[in-house]
Amino acid sequence: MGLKRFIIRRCIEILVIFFFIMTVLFVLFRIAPGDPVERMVDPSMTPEDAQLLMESMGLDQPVWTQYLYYLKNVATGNMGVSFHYGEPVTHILMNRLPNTILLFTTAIILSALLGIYLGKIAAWKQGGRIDTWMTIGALFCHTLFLPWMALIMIWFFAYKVGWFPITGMVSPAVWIDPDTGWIGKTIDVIHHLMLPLMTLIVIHFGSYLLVMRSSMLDTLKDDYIITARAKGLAEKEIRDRHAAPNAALPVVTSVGLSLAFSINGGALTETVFTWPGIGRELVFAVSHSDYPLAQAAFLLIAGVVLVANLVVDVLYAYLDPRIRY
Amino acid sequence: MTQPFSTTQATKDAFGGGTERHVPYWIERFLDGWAIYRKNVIGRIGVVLLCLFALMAAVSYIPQWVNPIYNPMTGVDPQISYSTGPSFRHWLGTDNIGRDLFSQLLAGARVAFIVGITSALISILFGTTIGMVAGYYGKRTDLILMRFADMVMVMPTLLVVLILSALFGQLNIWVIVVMIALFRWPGVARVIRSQTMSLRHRPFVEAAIVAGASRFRILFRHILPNVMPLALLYMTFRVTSAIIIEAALAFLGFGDPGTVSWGMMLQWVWKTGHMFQAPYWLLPPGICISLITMAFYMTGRAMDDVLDPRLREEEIKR
Amino acid sequence: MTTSLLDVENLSIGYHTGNGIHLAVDNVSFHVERGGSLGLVGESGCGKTTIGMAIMGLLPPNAGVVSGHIRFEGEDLTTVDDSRMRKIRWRRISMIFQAAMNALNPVQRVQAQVAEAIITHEPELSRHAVAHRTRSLFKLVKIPEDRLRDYPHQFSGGMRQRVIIAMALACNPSLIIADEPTTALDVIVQNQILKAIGMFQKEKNIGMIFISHDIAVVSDVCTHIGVMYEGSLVEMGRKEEVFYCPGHPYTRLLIESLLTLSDEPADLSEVSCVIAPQGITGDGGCSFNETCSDASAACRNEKVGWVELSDTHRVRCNLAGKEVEG
Ligand SMILES: Nc1ncnc2c1ncn2[C@@H]1O[C@H](COP(=O)(O)OP(=O)(O)OP(=O)(O)O)[C@@H](O)[C@H]1O
Ligand code: SF4
Ligand SMILES: [Mg+2]
Repeated sequence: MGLKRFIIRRCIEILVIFFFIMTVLFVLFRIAPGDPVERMVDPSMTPEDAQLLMESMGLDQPVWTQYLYYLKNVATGNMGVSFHYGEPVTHILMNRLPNTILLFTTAIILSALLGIYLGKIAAWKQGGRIDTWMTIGALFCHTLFLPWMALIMIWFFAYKVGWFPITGMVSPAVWIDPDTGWIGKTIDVIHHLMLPLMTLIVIHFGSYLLVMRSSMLDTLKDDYIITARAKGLAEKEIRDRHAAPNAALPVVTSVGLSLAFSINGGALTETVFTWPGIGRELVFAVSHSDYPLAQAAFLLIAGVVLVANLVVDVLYAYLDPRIRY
Repeated sequence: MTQPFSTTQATKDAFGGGTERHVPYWIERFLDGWAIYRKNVIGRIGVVLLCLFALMAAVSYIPQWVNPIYNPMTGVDPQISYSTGPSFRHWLGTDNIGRDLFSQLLAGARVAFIVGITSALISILFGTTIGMVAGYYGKRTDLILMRFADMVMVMPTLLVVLILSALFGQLNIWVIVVMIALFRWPGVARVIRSQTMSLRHRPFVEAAIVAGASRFRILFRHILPNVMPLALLYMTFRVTSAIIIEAALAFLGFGDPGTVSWGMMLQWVWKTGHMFQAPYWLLPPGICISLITMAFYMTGRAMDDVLDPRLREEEIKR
Repeated sequence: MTTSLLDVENLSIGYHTGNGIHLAVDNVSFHVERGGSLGLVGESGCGKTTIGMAIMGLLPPNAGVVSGHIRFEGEDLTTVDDSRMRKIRWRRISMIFQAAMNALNPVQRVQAQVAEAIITHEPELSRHAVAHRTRSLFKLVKIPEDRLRDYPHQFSGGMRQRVIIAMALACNPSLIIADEPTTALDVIVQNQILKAIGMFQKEKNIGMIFISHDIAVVSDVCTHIGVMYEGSLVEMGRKEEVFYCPGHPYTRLLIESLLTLSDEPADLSEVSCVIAPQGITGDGGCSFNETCSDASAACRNEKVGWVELSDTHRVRCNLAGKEVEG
């Protein structure tokens, strides 16, 4: 079937891109000023440990061999030991990955759904008051500066009103308590998730709303809309069953196109809310010159963006039969 | 794809308009565009806001000239050693070491314009050239360039610049500007490419090819003028993205330590833990970043209406 | 007097355009009987689609009925409200659209789109009954059963056209408006489809308005022919009358151009005039006078009335009656 071929082709493309990014990163790590060895080996390690690590990364070999070692290490997840945590970086990052995925995917899905829903309504009432205000509101939210928005959210919802915890992902007290069941823990995480999630949604839904609105306006001019009307369907049915599914396709595309931008925002959000994800880990690593961690975090984020791209593509193909078959 | 301007241009060229008509035609085209633009409320708001910010940037030199304690970076009010609220002496108050917030805000406008416009210019230059070459030469060239664009496109610019600053140490503001530009051209290149491809088969280009014009001449004499408005439109969107990335970078503590930008101000209020106590410090820079982004964005959208409404698929991305 | 299925009386329709109202349909009257079929012919832009859309109540927002009535089974469609109109659409009057290529929703299976029409108007039907009816409709238009779950883009143009026809028949309407259902199809498919349409129409005793710019096709399918020129009806009659003894110079031109087009060395000067009509000339005289070879001063200045050539055949031309005599 076409879909399978399509997915395989995209997977290959993604692998090529990832390979390219990996190589560029490797080159950057070699040409940057300073000793590449010092960048990968924690200065506070015992000489024996350092020697062992250097050997496993091929750092005592010529550059070409180092590159091969590097490729192998990326593939096997042996990316060195974090200077700060003193643990293998893969271990740390695999720990953080689910948190990022939780925040990131919920935020994107919810903001896309919200954008689609509101954009549909705005387009339907084109030129009306609802449309005007929604467009202006979307423009406004879309251009808010994310970290600032995050600070305002914390200031208001956590500090002034006190509805949500200021930062973090869990309350230690809840998790230490042996009586808390998984429901209590889930609620605790959701409680912490709310603010960063709301911030991301506020920043993102606006652009999706605008895309949906203009795509819906185009769709409404299509001939099959007249057919639907001629069939005697009610206006709501025409909107929801015929116009919206077609108009939502460009929104899916735009979600894919804006993924790189969204992950920037994700890193900022994680940092401000101290949400223990890979984006925050990258920022942290960069500010503490923890090179192994920074390198691995960057690669992992690039990987997440690429995989998310693939997911969006597959979703698009699934939604649009013209691609699927 | 209907392109009101290009089509008229095309007809004029095709029917012997020739090059000597180009200059007056440009003006005519600009005035036409401006007449449509002025009817757009969103566009008008955008232009007014931009003028305000430009004014801020222009007067940003005055405070420190009046009194060195108003220097946004180094001027410290000797009588103040903690953050104070707005007063007659300090219109927006001071930060925690007694620097004047108002003059910092003005200086921030200057940085935002410099960063936004230079970075956007560079990325537009890249994007337009690459897009035109890809669209005009087609085949292999096109494939390679566009694949490359795809790769750059999936890179999160902010995080890329972050990792570079980890490797190369504190980045100077101009390096940041160039870095941002280097990662923001693919979107432009794609649009310019498709525009070029549709132009390549228009009569006036084919006539030029038949007349034996060189490729260089065709690209820059015939195609460039027609993709210019679109490139200009994309410039406004690139300005916003550059401003935002610089601000975010500064916010995270990786800005140029020698400049006072709005992102920097937010980083200071956040890192010194004043965000709950000093709304007079927290609010202005954030509002300014958001508003200037919005202003450029609105200008872009209004320009988009003046140009071709059908080419807007990509505008939404920052 | 028994009421006809559809009675259009003095219908005028205008489009609001940048420079005022443009009358696309000017004072048109005709009627269609149950089981009868009327062909509307005329060049591109003469207002045929506009009439069809007006009957369906689907005129675009910038268009409106300026005057006149559309009586369908005694009910005036120009005055009914939206919810009533929705019930009439498709259930009683269905339409085969000119742009059938794009008239199907690209992200829905064809089967679902036909079924939707049935479900909308007969919600009481069980799912099984709907599926059964859908299948038999597809069988009727000769689309193999295993293609039912396909999407429109997997169909050829002719097949899509047949899906639309199946859809148009789905609710047993009493009137079908077929707007150039065969343009853009090759001759063989065109023949098949025309046959199919004619067959259903006779079999189910459906009234039909068949819109085309091709008078030969119309005379194949229809019992009556109306010829339109720039928004007005200029000749109307049984198909034999109009096709074999056309009364109006424009009709003659249409038939002649049909003949000359099939001959190789044709003089196209006359034909090209027809293809590129001037704007509507207002009510100063016959709108055809600039192209007409028989035009006289009277044609330019006086309003032209109907001339009845027989009980069923009327022509709007100053010369009509005289010519027959002479
Ligand atoms: N939406 C519209 N706005 C303004 N004028 C319109 C609109 N649609 C149609 N017209 C005008 O109304 C007139 C009649 O158009 P109509 O579509 O009914 O022609 P037609 O006879 O169906 O032509 P064709 O054979 O090409 O389909 C034309 O002059 C056309 O320019
Ligand atoms: S009325 Fe006159 S101009 Fe009009 S068709 Fe008849 S002869 Fe020709
Ligand atoms: Mg038509």
